Amino acid sequence: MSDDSFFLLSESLLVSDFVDDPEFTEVTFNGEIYTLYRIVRITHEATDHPQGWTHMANVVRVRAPALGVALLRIVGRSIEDARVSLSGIVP
Amino acid sequence: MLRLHFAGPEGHPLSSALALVGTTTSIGATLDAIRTNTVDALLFDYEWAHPMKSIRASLSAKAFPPFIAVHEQASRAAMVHALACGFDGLVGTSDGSGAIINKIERIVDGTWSFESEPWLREIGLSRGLLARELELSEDDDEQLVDLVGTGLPDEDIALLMDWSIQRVRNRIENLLSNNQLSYRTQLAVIRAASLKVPDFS
Repeated sequence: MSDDSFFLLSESLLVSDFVDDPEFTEVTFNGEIYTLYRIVRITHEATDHPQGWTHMANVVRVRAPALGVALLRIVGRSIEDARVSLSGIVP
Repeated sequence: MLRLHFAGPEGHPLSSALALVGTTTSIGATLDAIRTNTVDALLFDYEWAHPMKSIRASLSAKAFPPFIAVHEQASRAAMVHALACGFDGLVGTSDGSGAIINKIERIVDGTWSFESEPWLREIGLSRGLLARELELSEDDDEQLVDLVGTGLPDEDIALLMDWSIQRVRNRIENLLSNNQLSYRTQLAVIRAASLKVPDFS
């Protein structure tokens, strides 16, 4: 997800500095499949991203173990939208 | 000879095609007949699938015969729906009385089931999906699934519940997970199909 819109954030920042609930659901497959993730750390902030993403984060899948990177749209401490790419390593 | 009961509207073709020990033309009378008479199989008009699904779900496991839906054509779509309702079989009136009796006998003696059809096994649809009682773990889950069951998108549900979209989606995910469902539409259909048949007795 190489993108010039994203800027690296300090590692000292907490997830709770950005959102009230660190868990969010990605909706895929034309609105049918709901997958729950938890944010481990918010790594980047975006400015004027053309697709409206505001942040990038390291995430873990809650129900079945997996690691990933998420593009997030955070508005008012709530996650309005998300798109997740999982790592290729799945136990 | 099998003891067969048919439930459906008056003048149904099957009621005159087969030797039946009883016929009923209302859901209430059918429920009474199931409770009082011993039959080898209960046949019913496919159009009655939803109330029959609720009746079957309300009976104890030991108390009822195979439920077999009767459709004009035993199409794959009808068979998938019958399986999802939790029925034991489906016959088509267009197949002729001999073939119908043969299939009913195989359903009753267990040599045929939906699960014995290879193409149905490939779909991986679980029996009785539409007859399930949803497990609701939160106080407002019932309101949420009611709104999902009316076909509203998450954004509209968030407005109506005065929730964030994140909360709506997390709760829907929780409902899907708790009820072993894979798709949002399954949740909507189960809720929309959850007709309760009151027992006036």
